[in-house]
Amino acid sequence: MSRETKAAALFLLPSFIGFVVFYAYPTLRGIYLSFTDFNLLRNSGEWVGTRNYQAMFADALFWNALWVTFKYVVINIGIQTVLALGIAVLMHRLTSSVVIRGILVLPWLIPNVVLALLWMWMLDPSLGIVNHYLNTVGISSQAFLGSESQVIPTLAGINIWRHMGYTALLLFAGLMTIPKNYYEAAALDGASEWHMFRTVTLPLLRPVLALVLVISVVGSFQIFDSVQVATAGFGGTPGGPGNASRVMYLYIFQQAFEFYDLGYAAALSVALIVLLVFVAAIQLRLLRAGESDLA
Amino acid sequence: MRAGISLRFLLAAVATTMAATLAACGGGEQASGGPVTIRYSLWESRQQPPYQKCANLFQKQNPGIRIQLEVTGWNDYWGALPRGFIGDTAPDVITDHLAKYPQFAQSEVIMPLNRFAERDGVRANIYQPGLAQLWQTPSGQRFGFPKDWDTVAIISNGGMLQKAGLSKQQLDNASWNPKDGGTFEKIAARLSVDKKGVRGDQPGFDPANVAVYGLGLDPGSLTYGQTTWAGFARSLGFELLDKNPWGRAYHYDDPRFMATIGWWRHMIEKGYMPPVSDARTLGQTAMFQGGKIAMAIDGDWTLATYTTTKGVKVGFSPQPRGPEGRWSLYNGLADSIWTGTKHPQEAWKWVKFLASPACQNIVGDSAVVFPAIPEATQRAVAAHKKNGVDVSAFTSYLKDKHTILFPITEQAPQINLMMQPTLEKILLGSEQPDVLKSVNDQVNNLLKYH
Amino acid sequence: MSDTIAPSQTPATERAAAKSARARPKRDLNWGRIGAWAVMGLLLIITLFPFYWMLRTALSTNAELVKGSQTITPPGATLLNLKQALGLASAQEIAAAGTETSADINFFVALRNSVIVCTLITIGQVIFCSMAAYAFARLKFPGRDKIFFLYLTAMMIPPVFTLIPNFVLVKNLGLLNTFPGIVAPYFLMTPFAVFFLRQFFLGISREVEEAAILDGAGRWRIFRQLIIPMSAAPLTTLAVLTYITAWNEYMWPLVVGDSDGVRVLTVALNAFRQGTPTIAPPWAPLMSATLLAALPIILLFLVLGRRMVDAIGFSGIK
Repeated sequence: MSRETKAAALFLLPSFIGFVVFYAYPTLRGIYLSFTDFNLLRNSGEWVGTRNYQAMFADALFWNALWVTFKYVVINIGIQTVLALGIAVLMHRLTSSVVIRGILVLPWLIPNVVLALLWMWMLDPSLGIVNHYLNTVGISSQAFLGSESQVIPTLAGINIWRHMGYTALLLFAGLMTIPKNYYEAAALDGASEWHMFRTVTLPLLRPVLALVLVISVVGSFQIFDSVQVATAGFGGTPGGPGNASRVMYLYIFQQAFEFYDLGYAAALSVALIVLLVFVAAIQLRLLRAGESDLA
Repeated sequence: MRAGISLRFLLAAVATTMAATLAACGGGEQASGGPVTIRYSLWESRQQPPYQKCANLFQKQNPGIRIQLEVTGWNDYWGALPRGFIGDTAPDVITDHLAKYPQFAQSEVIMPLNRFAERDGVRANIYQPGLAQLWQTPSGQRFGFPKDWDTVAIISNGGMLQKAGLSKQQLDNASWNPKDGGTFEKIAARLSVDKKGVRGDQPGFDPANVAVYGLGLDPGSLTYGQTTWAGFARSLGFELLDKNPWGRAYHYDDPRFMATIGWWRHMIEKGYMPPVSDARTLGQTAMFQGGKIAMAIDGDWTLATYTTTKGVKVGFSPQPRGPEGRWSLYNGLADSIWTGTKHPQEAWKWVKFLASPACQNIVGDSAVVFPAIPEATQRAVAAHKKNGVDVSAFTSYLKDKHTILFPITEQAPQINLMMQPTLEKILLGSEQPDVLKSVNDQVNNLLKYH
Repeated sequence: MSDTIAPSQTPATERAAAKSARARPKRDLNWGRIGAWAVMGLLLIITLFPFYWMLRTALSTNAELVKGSQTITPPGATLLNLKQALGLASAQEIAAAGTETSADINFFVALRNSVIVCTLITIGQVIFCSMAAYAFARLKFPGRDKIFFLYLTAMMIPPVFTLIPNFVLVKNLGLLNTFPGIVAPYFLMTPFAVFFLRQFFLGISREVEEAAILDGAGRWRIFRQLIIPMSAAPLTTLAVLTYITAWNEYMWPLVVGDSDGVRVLTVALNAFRQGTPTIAPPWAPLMSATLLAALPIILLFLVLGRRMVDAIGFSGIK
């Protein structure tokens, strides 16, 4: 027994050190920092109690960040899930060719930053190809990332483009777990495609769909790369126009690394975690992801 | 056995490493040795020649100290500097700005100069009035001695004035009020020409198709309105802060400010000023040089860009007269010392020299900026005169003591993050000036909690 | 959470399943199928066209782009932009092309940095996480399940939360702008890697191990000479996924390694974008740089595509 424990200790040691030093300790430290006025440049801070949290609730830019992020998540995940489901069903019915699956998942493999810059170019208000094609069909040039009202939907669109193939692949794997006899039985009863989808596919896919949704939503709340890179243009600052794309991660980042207010940034991060836990819990509840109709 | 040998080996390794480290630490202070190099950062490449002259003079008087000038463009300067602070690679002496130094002082990355100044008997009363106090925090710590100052004036295209049948005297004596814009708006209207050649004060002027705008717009820094509303609003008696420096409350919700910013929007709507998008993409100086605007509101730090416009006789007029006279925002730079410098004594020697008449006179003679010591300012004015440029418009405010001290508060970058988009939206017409009532509350909230 | 699904989905059964799907009644299926294939075709075009556009722009003359040329083939095809991105173009060439900016980025160095960082992280994770996974899967020790649960909770922590304290830690250790500093948080463990490998190790049959134990072999020997070779496939999968994830990292390297010597590709791209253009927006060089950043992954994908696609399918079922 003890020999096995000793062996286990050695096997676990490196990863355990990693866990403690870079996950556990920072988490606790982060919570502690949120109650201080720790300044990044000064590299020190003093306890200030709940002052950061009070400031947060009175901070219009905090509520702006929440709202902007919420808008983004709803548009992003709403459309992405529907599209991914459609693509998964399409693949399920047409072909499971590895080449096609590979092509569809390709954008997900490329760094966010690369794709954000690529789309920034294609969506450029005056020189971009997208506006060029819109003009040829009679639609006037759109500002996309340069418009207060369009910037969030545009960012969501870029993210959807990146993730729809990957998400579809996850759902596709889930579709494959549904036994064929359910479909055959329904077809024999004369059910239409749509009916089979609603009564066989969706219910049996629910656990996978729920998990994919929860993870996608939590991930979507944490958008940073594309916003930081694509809303600034050449030589500009991100978050614009105005504060229209100043999502939570970007605001936290700015507070920490441009205003050097690590205490406040930590408080904002705590708020974000609380929100994410809340959102995930609600989702799991609503989707009854614990149960699978297969059982 | 094996454990024993490895333990001894381990101890030996540790001992050797420690010895090596201590040896390296021991040789820290280079008491005698080569010259000390002081790195000095600037953002204005045009200022490099005069400051190099200062450096040469300083080096002659202080053998053993070498001054290394490092020029980085404005945009990159404020990104690279904090990275230097964080990564311990910052320059020893930095050119500092009133809008940035409070944050640096609070973060303790710049050094208070009080004890150096007391020891060497350096006084802060030899500079243009009002400048020196801005560089002191409420607790009395001083972070810089003024080295130059700037104001804002109306820059006009002489040829366009003539073609419009206007004289520069008219512009010099222009009046202003937010209701009808005074004679200033009339001048701007007259100078505006639409694509069909109709002037702004003639019937049929088309604001949507303007070829030349009477007055330019600089939408870059709306928060303090240095090159836009600052002078105008002050001439109505408006004061942005409850006290300056180190105010605790802003007054963006004051009706006089709302009227002023509303007038700016009105000018854009009438077609006498370019819309925000054009102004931002092209830039005010480019529009002036390209003949797209007849007048610009800008500071003397861009003087050379305007005077070198080909084929244009450039004139400078003070800002228009409001009920309380002509005013301008009054900014000033100083040099600060990084707290992480390895040579604080030498850095102070350089800063002391920069703040002294010896260096400021050299800078004045080069006619690039207005140095902070009055005698050096005179030399700059004279140097400009020799080049055929009359800069009295910029210096006029000092005579009447109509200079608005640059607003200093805490949380300046955060406040800018809130105000700049709001004011932009008002200029774009997507918000009305009375939104300022709630935004001002939010701004004051920021100060309440920090 | 089923862990018995994926191994049974071999390509052969997949194809059989697809065939039986197609064998269903054919009413109206012809028009439906044509429509479905049209949609699929559209999807593939939408997915692939931007990559072509990136290539096309990278090879164009910037001056043509700024004029608004939208030709399908690169206008004024040139390799100058790629040279600029790699740091091989002279200052005069760049100024002449009108693509000068205040940023001076050498993507060749950035490429090297990305490779160094990703290789280090991958090696570290494969080694240390497989060790941990083995301990959780095979060894009995007090608190095993509790500790594993702790590791799992680490997966729930949003990266931004640990970012700030980790940054302060790395700064205080003096490791800012160094490779060890960038690699540190990922080197020793990632909860996902431990979880992923544990699943596989649980599925390995115990008989061979038990025989080796009876023969008196130590745990480390069993791990090194039995388990690792048997797990070549999942280990490779993990290595590939880890490499790609590390390649795509942005926020952490931005914060900890933004200086010229250690900048990785994603951060270097941002640094280039942040430079103020002196003449015209340098779209062509920027697209060349993004092409360079995307190319290694695309190449890796062309070589290992099938395995990666299957791995993604599996990881979803978790």
